[in-house]
Amino acid sequence: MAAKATSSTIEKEQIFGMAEKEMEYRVELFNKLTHTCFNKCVEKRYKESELNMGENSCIDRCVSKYWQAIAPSRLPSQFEEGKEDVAHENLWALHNFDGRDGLAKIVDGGEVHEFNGGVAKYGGVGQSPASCFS
Amino acid sequence: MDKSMLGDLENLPEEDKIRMSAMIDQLQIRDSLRMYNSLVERCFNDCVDSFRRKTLDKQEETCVRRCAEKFLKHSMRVGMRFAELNQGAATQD
Repeated sequence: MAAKATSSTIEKEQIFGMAEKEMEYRVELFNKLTHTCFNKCVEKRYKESELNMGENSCIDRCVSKYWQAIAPSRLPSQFEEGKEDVAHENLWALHNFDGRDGLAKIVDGGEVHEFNGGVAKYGGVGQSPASCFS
Repeated sequence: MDKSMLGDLENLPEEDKIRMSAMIDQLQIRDSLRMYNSLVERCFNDCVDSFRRKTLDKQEETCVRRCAEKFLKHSMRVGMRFAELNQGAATQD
């Protein structure tokens, strides 16, 4: 008799899927950030192979500003530990996964989202920017 | 991007850990190849403008080498700052 795919398996797959998208988003973000700040901070003439002091400060500030532009609330001084990083929250979901009877609770930094089948609606503290465009 | 970005991998069940690990490895490989390609394109665009000869001259070669080194150093620095901001570390102005 073939094994039946339980709804908790499906839900777990969804979480993995989200985690993967999350990571892809982060990689792309990093790449765009790198290219943008290089274009803005480094002269094209390449007089030497080292980064000079001016370029170094420019890079630091560029990264900081870019980060702020992503989400104004995510500046380091306003960070609440364990809550802001969305990639971590997906991992939270993964290992707090409770696949009982089709009803799964995803613990999200203290806020519990319950759902019964269907797509897990991700929300709560530190909402993923990507979810704003759904 | 490396596995230290997702530090709490250790707390996952074994099969999940393996799966996440494989996912990260794949992303890493893809990202490295993409970075290499874009680096070559960038340095070529910035350093090579004439096609009077079919080989790179001394100047172009030096330019390309510096460009590559600069970009890689830049990329490392950005990675450092990115990781710091990710962890919520305070940065100096």
